[in-house]
Amino acid sequence: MGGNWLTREQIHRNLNTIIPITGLILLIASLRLANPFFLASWDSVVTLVYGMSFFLVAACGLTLVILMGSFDFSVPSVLKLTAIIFAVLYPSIGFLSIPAALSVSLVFGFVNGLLLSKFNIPSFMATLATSMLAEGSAQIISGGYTRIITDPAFRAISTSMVGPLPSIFYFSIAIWALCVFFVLATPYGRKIYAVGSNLEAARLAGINIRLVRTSVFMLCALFAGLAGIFYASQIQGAHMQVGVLDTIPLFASVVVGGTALTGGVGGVHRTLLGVLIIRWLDSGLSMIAIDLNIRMIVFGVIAILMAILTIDRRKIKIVK
Amino acid sequence: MSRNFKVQQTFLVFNYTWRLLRGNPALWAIMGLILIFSAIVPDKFLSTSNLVAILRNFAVTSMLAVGPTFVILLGSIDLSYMGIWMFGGALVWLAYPYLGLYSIFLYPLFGLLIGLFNGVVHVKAKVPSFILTLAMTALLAFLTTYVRNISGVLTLTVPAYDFLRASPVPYIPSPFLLALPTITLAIFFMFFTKIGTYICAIGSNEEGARLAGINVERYKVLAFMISGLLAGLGSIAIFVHLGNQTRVDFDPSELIRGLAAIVLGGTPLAGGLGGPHRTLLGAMIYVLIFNGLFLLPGVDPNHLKLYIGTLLLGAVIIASKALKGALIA
Repeated sequence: MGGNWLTREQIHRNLNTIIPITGLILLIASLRLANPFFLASWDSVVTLVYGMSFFLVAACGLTLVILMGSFDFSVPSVLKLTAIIFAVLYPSIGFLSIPAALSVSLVFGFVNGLLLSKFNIPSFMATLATSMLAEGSAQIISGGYTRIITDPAFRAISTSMVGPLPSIFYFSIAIWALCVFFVLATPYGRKIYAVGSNLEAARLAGINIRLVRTSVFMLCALFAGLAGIFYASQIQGAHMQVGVLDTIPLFASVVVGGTALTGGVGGVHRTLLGVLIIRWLDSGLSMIAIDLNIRMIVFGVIAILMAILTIDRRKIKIVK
Repeated sequence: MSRNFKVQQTFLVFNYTWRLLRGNPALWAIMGLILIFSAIVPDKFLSTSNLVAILRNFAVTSMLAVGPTFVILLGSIDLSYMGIWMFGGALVWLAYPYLGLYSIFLYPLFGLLIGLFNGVVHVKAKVPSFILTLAMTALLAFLTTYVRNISGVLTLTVPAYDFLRASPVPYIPSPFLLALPTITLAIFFMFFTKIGTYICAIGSNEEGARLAGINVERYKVLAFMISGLLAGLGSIAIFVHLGNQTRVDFDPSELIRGLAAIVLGGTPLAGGLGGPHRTLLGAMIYVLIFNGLFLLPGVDPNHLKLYIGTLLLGAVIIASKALKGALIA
């Protein structure tokens, strides 16, 4: 590094690290200025933790897929479907409904991965179709009704206090840390980066790209399912509106963290920053009474601007 | 001599028809669907009102799908048609007090501008087109809902265009007539200008097209502009179909409607093959399937999303045969 780490080229190369961190600092400062109660009491911190935790789990899965250069639209729909299966089955089979719901989400991930790697269908198209299937199944399973579970054990998964914070916080941070470890420090993680950087080169280097891609889609769906279970437990039930408004914030938090849409650049460790920025921005904007639709537009614009900044243009020649 | 000529001519017509049928499997599908549904539910399927409804839905579905076909020919994708349709209607509603009946022309103009923006950002900033245009659609959709919310009315309706809803031709619904200019324009761009050929060339081999001297960037932007223009122009038909109002809440299954029509028609997502003429056939297949399906006894409309997802999945799996060889992200 030496003394020249702030040259123009270095700044440009590290834009995807510099922007999220400065953004976060500026965001906290301006939110404190706009509303002195922001993060002023421990209760508000706990509220923010509730808003962020299930979201972080789903965002970790989406980051893995984006790192691989693909995209997964079905994350919010699978989240909704698992939440609904969990809530619908809970009265009859208790906590066995967790593995049942998670296995359904794994099936969706497997189908997504198979469609991409075996049938060679672009991932956004395949996941768009499977998200419709998940939505339709959720509609049929729930019958369109809101399911409310009053059993305290159901709620305890996410909301029992361990120390000063709810258990969902520890779960999500543990999942995130595990993800970071696997992506940064294991051969499997390096394979994800390799597939994302150059698919053809990864195949020629002897990586079983079909296996890597399918397993990453399954992991993504599994995390979406876990997020659904945590969320259902957090709100004591499930309904058809779960996850509907999460598509854009999820995508925005992955991209704002600095993971490039073209794959191979970024990482799960960055997504924590992105989730913090997006969820704090969300709560900050709603505190000053900004309309929900305008908030979504803000996230979309931020995400696209950040996507433009983070794409590694030296690598790609043809972009579709 | 003359008899011989006649035989030859008949043979030519037969040969031409055969080639048309062989080149467009979608035609077989349309004939099969019509045969199946008229065999199962003839009284419902072949009733006049149902045939008129099929024409109406065909106009709506093809208007969603014809524009983006040009971008799919490039191998990219343009999902902004739904945003153009939704927010364009809000624009017409907003501008009507000032522009009067001329405000309907804001639709194609707005579409063209959005297409230009998409194309320039996609080509210059190299953002993958599907995420760019999806964000655009979401953005415009949320903006439309916002306009509706602050305006204090339930629907963004412009009653002054009611005269467009009455069709001058009996049995032909007016959305279908309003769709004809867009269809003509799409066919014109595809077959009577070099743009269509160049777009196909770029879609099948971008590097080759560049080496052949095609200004790839310019034609990519042009494809997005045509897509936006046709989406805007076609949205007029949907606007009239919905009762001179625009949609104010975002539903992804409408987004899939356009994509499914394109894929069912036989334009592969990898680009380079097909065109708007095939998309028209695909739109017909889509409409026939869903029209006939809900006439069958025991089909629950609540499961619509399941059927749409299955149909899209089946269509892309069948179409993926054309993608063999290339590795897709």
